Amino acid sequence: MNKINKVVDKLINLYGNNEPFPNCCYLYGQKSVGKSMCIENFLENASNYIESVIIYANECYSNKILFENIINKFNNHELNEANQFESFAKIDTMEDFLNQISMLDVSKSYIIVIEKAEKLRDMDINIIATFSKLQEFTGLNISCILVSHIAYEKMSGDEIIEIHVPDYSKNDITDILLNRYEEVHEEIIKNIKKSNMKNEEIDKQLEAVTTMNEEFYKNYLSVFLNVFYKACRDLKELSFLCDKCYPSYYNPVLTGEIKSTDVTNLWRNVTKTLKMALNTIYMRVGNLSAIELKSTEENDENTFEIHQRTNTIKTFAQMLELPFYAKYLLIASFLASHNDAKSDKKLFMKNHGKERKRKQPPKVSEKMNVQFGPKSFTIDRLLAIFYAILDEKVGLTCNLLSQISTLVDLNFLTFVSGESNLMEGTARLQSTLGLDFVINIGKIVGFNVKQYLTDFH
Amino acid sequence: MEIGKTRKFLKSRLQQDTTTFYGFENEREHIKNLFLRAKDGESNSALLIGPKKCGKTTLVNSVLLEMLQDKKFVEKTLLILLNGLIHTDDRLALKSTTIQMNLEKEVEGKTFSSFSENLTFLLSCLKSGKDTQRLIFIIEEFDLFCAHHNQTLLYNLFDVAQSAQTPICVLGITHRLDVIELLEKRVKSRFSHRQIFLLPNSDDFETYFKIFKELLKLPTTQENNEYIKNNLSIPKNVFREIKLPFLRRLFNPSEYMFSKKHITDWNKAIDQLAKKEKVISTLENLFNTSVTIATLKLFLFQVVSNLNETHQKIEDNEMVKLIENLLFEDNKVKLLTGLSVLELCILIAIKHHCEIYDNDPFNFEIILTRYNKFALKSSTMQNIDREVILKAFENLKYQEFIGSIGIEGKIQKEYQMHKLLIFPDQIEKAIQRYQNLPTEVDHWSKSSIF
Ligand SMILES: Nc1ncnc2c1ncn2[C@@H]1O[C@H](COP(=O)(O)OP(=O)(O)O)[C@@H](O)[C@H]1O
Ligand SMILES: [Mg+2]
Repeated sequence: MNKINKVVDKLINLYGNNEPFPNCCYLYGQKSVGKSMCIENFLENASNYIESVIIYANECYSNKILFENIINKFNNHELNEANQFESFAKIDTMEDFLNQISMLDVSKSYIIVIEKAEKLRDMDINIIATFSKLQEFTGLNISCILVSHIAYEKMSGDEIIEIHVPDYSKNDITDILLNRYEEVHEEIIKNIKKSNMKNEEIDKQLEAVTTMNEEFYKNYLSVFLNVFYKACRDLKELSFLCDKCYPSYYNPVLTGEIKSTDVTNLWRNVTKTLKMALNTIYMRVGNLSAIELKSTEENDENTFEIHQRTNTIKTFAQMLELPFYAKYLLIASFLASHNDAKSDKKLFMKNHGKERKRKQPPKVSEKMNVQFGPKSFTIDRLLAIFYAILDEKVGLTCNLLSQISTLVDLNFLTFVSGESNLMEGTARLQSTLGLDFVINIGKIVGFNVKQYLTDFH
Repeated sequence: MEIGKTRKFLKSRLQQDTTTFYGFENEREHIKNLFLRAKDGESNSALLIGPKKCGKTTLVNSVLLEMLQDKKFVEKTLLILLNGLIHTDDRLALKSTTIQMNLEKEVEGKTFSSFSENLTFLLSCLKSGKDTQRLIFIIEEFDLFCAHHNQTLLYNLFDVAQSAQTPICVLGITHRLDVIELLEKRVKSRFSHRQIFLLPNSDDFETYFKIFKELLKLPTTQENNEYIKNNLSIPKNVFREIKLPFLRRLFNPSEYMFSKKHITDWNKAIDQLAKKEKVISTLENLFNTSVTIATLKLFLFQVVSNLNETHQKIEDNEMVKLIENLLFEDNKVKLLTGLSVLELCILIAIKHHCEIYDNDPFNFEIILTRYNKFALKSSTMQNIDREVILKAFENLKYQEFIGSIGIEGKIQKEYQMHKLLIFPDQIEKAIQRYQNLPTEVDHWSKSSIF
């Protein structure tokens, strides 16, 4: 890539063969934009005149590890059984470290790359200051390259040479993904051959695959990026999802349902899958395409909606299995957490709440209680609301208390205080649910939640 | 060929020459005197104070290099280098002092009841020789030693220096202009109160400009010889015996041979460059933001790095562009333009929130509501799930464009309060530069009513 080459050239210019190095450089850019690739290319190009080590600051949970990793690498010391996994030298202090560095061959040149450099801020304060002045302390031609995704001012106030690795444009990303066409294609052919379909079917599919040329893949990429690019520019994530969704695009071609040239129908067919997958960004849901996507293609809108919340799906299922009263308890706990206690009377008194005439349209954007998170409530208040919203007359407080415990176990409710005093009524609880979720419970039991939230009056 | 050599020479002088010090003649004279008197056995203490990167270390290096040409100084004095970044407590500092005095064997197996007893012992070892060596302590990042327990090291060193039993000289170097206030009473009373300030003059662009030209020009043979005579006539044994880091790779211009013609041509080109109105005025801009030679050197290093066979000259507009880049390019804006449209939309919602509520803190739910108002009517941002939006919100936090306030983890992340860590106009700049931004997003960014 042109962009990578430019950055590598810049690095080579700054770190020329047999030339004095700058004290320190800062290489920054968005995540998975190719920072590490730049570094690797550069170090490979310069390997004949630079001794280098790459350190991941997030893995250095002590100074000792940071120091010893560097010294081991510069002395070509690998940890193995022969040396009983002992480091080249025991290094406890910054001074030990600098002494060891000073012992290196003064006629050579050295670079220490620190990836995830923002993590250095969590270590001792002297690390950044010292690493950016290693020449002053050791007299060697040595330099440090800090690599990070944040702006440099967040690291230090001292001046430094900054190098920005620019982001990928949509075209860049298309090119990079397109580059993998052959690889992806081979994989599909291999999978067809491996499958346990009838020979006849296999032959048919292998025939169909030949029509899936690079143009076909390019069309897919364009459809794919149209949906995803606006929500995510992380190349790693995009290429992961791109692979996951591809089968849904080409399967109808394999089965002969849609022609490989019928772009419109292919697009129509894959849209739903893509929209669904869009909502799994960064969630790395295992084998998405295989099971879940299939079922949504076949099923109705309703299941689709549930699937959409891939990571709340489990909670949702658990909720579905709860007894009827427990569902009401969940709603009551949410109302208790998100209404002021003083408005209870107005909301829940019979002949008061429901028939109220709305004077204003519901507020939307002004500050709302639900936006500020749950407040705690007592068991008494919870039960009062519960009885108020439940139209039946029931007298089963004892049973309800045990249901409350179950809801706590399921993490739908949490204790704020007085955990051991559930029976006495001094305990305070809090709802953990979100508004959307509670509205859905309401739909299931036939209860309009919004009507009982002061925010929507 | 010549250009490669030129580039290397210029880089070396910018980076490797850590002993040439420009200006501040009086201050330099002060330090030099201090060392000379130390050589003669006088005890003393002083502080060299100046902002970061103003050249304190370079000044001391330059004086030391000069002193090291004096045989008597080399024989009579012993340099001890301490640094607050490295010697993070007094025990480490004393251990390092022992090693630098070559007394590890002598203290082996000995136990001392106090710091001062240990120090006294070290000093007494000096006396046993035929002629007492004079100690010169050079203490970098001096202010950090003030935070050590009871300021024991400082107290003891100043105490010895004041009582003049053993000849020692203590020079502290620090960027803290208020360093005196950091000293405890008993430490302060033992300090000589000799303070040497290195304060860059923000009116003197002329000198700065002169140094600019000097740093880019090649020295004539005559200048070269002079430099070598003044700086490099150090006895060979010094390199073996004295362990100053900067002595290990001293800048030596005689390693470079240029033809007379190349020197004349190159220097002429630099003079031409320095005559350009635009170059002078942008350089003045650089000077107005940072007066230190350090900034100038850092900038020139990048200029020189771009030279190669196909690019043999320093171009005026290239220089102007680089300075403007350094001064006006906002690296946060650069990072912002790498966000996804969704992430940018959330930032816009945050921006509107901050404008409407006068920078009140916000949480995810508040921003989501505001974002949804836009998204529901938008043609490009529909159908994005809450969880994905939450991830985008968290990504903004990961990049430190927003940050949480209060203790984290106490409440659910959707309700955790945050504040904006960048300026609204940085968001606006990013929006202007963002490629292929849907127009509706652009409109929304300008007006919260959509
Ligand atoms: N007056 C000066 N003369 C020469 N070089 C200087 C001067 N001031 C600063 N520098 C340069 O600036 C950089 C930082 O100087 P340094 O002596 O390390 O500053 P300090 O010790 O005050 O932090 C070095 O590259 C040095 O060469
Ligand atoms: Mg310094």
